[in-house]
Amino acid sequence: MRKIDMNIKMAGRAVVTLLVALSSVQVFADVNLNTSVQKVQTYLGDDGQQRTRLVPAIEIVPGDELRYVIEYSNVGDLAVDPNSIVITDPIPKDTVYVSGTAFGSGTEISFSVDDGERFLAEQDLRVDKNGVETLASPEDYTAIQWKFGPVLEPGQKGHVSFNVVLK
Amino acid sequence: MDSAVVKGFSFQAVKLMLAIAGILLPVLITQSAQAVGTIAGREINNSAQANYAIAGVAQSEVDSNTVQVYVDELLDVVVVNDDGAPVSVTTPETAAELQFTITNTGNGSESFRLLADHTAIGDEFDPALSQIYLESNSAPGLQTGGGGDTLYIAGTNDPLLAADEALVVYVVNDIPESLNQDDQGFIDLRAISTTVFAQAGIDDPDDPGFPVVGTQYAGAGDLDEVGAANVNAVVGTSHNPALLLISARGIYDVSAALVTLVKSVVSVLDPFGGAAVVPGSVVTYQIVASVTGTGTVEDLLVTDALPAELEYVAASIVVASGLPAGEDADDDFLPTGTDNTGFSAPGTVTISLGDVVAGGADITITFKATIR
Repeated sequence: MRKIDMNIKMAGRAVVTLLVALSSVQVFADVNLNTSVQKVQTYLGDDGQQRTRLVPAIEIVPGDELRYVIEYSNVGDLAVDPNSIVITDPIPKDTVYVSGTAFGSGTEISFSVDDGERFLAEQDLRVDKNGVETLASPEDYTAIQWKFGPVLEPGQKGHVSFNVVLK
Repeated sequence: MDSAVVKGFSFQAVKLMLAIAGILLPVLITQSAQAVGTIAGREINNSAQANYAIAGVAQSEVDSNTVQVYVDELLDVVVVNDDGAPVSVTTPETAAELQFTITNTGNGSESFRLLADHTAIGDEFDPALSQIYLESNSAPGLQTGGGGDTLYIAGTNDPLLAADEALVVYVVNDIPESLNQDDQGFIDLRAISTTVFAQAGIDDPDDPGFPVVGTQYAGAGDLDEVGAANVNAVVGTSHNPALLLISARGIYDVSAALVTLVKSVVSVLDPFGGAAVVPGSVVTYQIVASVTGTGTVEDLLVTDALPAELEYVAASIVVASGLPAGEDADDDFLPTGTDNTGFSAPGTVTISLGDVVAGGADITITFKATIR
């Protein structure tokens, strides 16, 4: 029950979201996922250098950079098998993946250009551009996948993240 | 000595400029219309999924919560002067037109308040402001009156533009009298987002209170895509005072075309083969017409009334030189070539030179007359 409450709180304003959250917790999952989003804000530091910081993202404008963080945790009583946790996240619509920002300690990261049908390493992704098979560029990516290598013991947690820019 | 006179010319320069602007316009619209990005009010959702196994047994897929962000409305507009060059005017002139294109480069639907400002410094005169017209009848150029373009009235019919939509507007001014050649008058046309005007109460970018780039107006933007609430409106980079893309300058330039005529005697042939000016001598006259300055003189007509002592020699008019490239003497001038039609009772030589663009080669006219 604790987990249901949490999910409802996070559901925000859309009813659709609430239904998704409820359906997901009808299974007594051992792994819990929590997604959050923040805006990457560029500002001028006291030393005159451009720096970035994370600020709450509720409303954004084209050109803004967002960081999505997905926290995974083992809330069950059993260890989760090594190399078995696979987290996938679609690149949100109207956004473009920022090259090199996908992060995940202890994970193997791959990308999809076909809405998650297949995930491959960046250097192996190909797209058809005007009839020519070409190495995919970040704007072609439609989803990201993280494969977590170690065992996830009960009570342990970690996170993965990636950045996108709003078109 | 009799004298040559010029009459019946007017200026075509403004019409010429507008014709050029009309050709360039589609290109300008393409250049100024930038991709605006994700439309205001869009809801951007994201949720992750995970699969995993415990003791070799695959477990059901789990979903994360869904996070949402909403896309704010960027208030951005770009104004471009379409004339390409200062618009030539005469002094005085009424209803001289400038043409501008206004493009909503923001990501939402926005209406704009238009102001034509003639107070800019650095020019020699202030055009007398009269009217702004919105292109509305799909016929290129400004048409006024019934079926014509729409007269703009601030606060009443501020044009509403969708993201990326462009609108042509015309600013019509009167040019004062007694100005000098090459005097210029500036008109700065500004487009102020009505959201900015409503929130800040200011439509002058020079006012210290004019909002800076990044200013947010909570809930003042377009409706979000689910229709639940209005997103924020954000003042966009077109308001950067260094560039001020929300404003563009049109320039009037006083540029009269000046016609000068120089008449001279080329030769005299007396009845005895000499050059004495006696009854019976044939005098060859030359008139050189020069059109200098800028613009075009229209229907240039050169007339020369011969005194009673001179009798015109039939078929002696020759328009000899200064023809526009590629045209024969017979094409444009009346009388054409060498003939007699340019002479009429009571004793006036009349040569019609048609429309002459300033700055071209001199036009040389010769004719002969016999001393009575």
